[in-house]
Amino acid sequence: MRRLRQWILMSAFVLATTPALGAMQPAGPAAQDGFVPASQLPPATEQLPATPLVAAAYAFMWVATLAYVFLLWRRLAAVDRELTTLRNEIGGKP
Amino acid sequence: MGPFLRVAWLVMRKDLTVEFRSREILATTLFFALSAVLVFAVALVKEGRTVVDAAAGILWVAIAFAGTLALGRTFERERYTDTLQALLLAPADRPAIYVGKLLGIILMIGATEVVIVPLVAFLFQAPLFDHTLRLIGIIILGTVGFAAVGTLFAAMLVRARSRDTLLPVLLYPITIPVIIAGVRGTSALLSDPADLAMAGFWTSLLAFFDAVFLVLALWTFEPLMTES
Amino acid sequence: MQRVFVPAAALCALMFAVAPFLVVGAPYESTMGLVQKIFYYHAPAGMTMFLAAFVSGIASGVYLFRGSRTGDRIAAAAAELVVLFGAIVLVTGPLWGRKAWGVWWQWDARLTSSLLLWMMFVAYLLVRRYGGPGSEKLSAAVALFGMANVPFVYVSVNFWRTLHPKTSVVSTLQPGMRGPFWFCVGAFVLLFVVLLISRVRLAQQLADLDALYLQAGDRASA
Repeated sequence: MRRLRQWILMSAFVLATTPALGAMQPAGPAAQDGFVPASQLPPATEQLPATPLVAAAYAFMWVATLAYVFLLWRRLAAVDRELTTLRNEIGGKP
Repeated sequence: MGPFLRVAWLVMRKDLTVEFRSREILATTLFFALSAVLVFAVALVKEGRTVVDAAAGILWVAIAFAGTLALGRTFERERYTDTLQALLLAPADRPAIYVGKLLGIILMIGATEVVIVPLVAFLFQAPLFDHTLRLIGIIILGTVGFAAVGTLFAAMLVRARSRDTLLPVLLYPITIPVIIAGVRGTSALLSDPADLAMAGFWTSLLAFFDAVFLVLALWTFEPLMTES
Repeated sequence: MQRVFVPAAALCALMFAVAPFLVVGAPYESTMGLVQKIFYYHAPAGMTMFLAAFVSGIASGVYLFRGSRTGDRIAAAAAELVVLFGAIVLVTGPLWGRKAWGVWWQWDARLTSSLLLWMMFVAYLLVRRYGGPGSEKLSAAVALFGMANVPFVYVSVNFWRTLHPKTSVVSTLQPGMRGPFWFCVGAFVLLFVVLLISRVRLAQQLADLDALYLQAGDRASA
């Protein structure tokens, strides 16, 4: 039962990213870029598209966090297994 | 206070006596610093002349490298002869031992600086001796700060594995403020109308850093050296 | 601890699911346009990184001076999180800066402090991993010194150079931006707490495992 709850939580985290990615896309080309006051920016940066940068930033955050969560998960599961095996072998000693 | 200072003095005297017998660390560190300065001088050559503004930076990098070397070698010697263990077993105030070692290290790095500073002045035509007293102040405060942190870390790494690589890895990030303050302070003194106000600011920052980290080191030396 | 964990994790996941919608709904910043949206993850990650460093430093102090094993575990877990959140800050920052200022990196006070703090906690993890026996105490010292060092790094770099948006970016935020910003801060802090609890739990389990092995003696096969 606890295992199932943990899986649900994991999936919730993963699923949380999907609407994020979906919501990001349409906002991108929302004509704002055309209205940025040109005087404020050095010419070079006007040509840089912002969307890939923003997408990369958010993507990195998620990849890093989920990678950490996943690694933590695996280690917890492995240690859990070892503990159970050991406890059984010892035969219920505290 | 008396016994504390006496222990510190004795530890320092022991270190210096051992060192003067062979002068090994002093000689190797000095020549290492010399080669470092030369490498930098060559690396920063532009159109056949060295970049004058680099003098302050090169000086402090050389001090940092030489300092790390001196720290590593001093404590390696302690480890090899197992004397650190003996020192800690002695019924002496642990922080006093730390202060003793610190003073020894400061003197060793100082001896290196006595050669390096004029050398840098010579190689880079840097007017390092226009404000000698202020310069000495900055160098001493910077050395004390660097050594204070370094002695603690080197001592605690004595029993660790990978101690040679871990010392710089730990020491450099923590002593970045010392390096920045040292370089900018020295640079302020070297600039054409010497910026005494800025030099004063950096000197105060160094003094503050020294105070904070000396206290921190004295405070943590005991629990760190005790095996739990 | 365990009872708090599940609701906290669920709430955290929920907040992160909602956050992007809030971010998208927030007003555009007039000069930087879309790329400023990175701020909603970058700044909270930065705040969380400093929080984690603070937690690690305090816990290290408790471990060093009171001998508390739990303190050591919390310190180590928080250190890993400093590296995680720090990595997020150090990657999202340049991505933002490249577009906003035209350069990937600037040696200004905040960026340099963050980088150095991150490096110190990477050093923490290195000491723990490669330091051999007794490395828990060494790493505790690293955390303490690292924490004490932050103000010095900040001041020294500040007087050396500065380019970062002024420190009071938060208080000068447009009203429309404050809501999403603080929401994201909440989400990140909650994420930190959830991950911390999990990681400390892992450390405790590993300690239990060691104890069991010792107890079992030769009966436990490798």
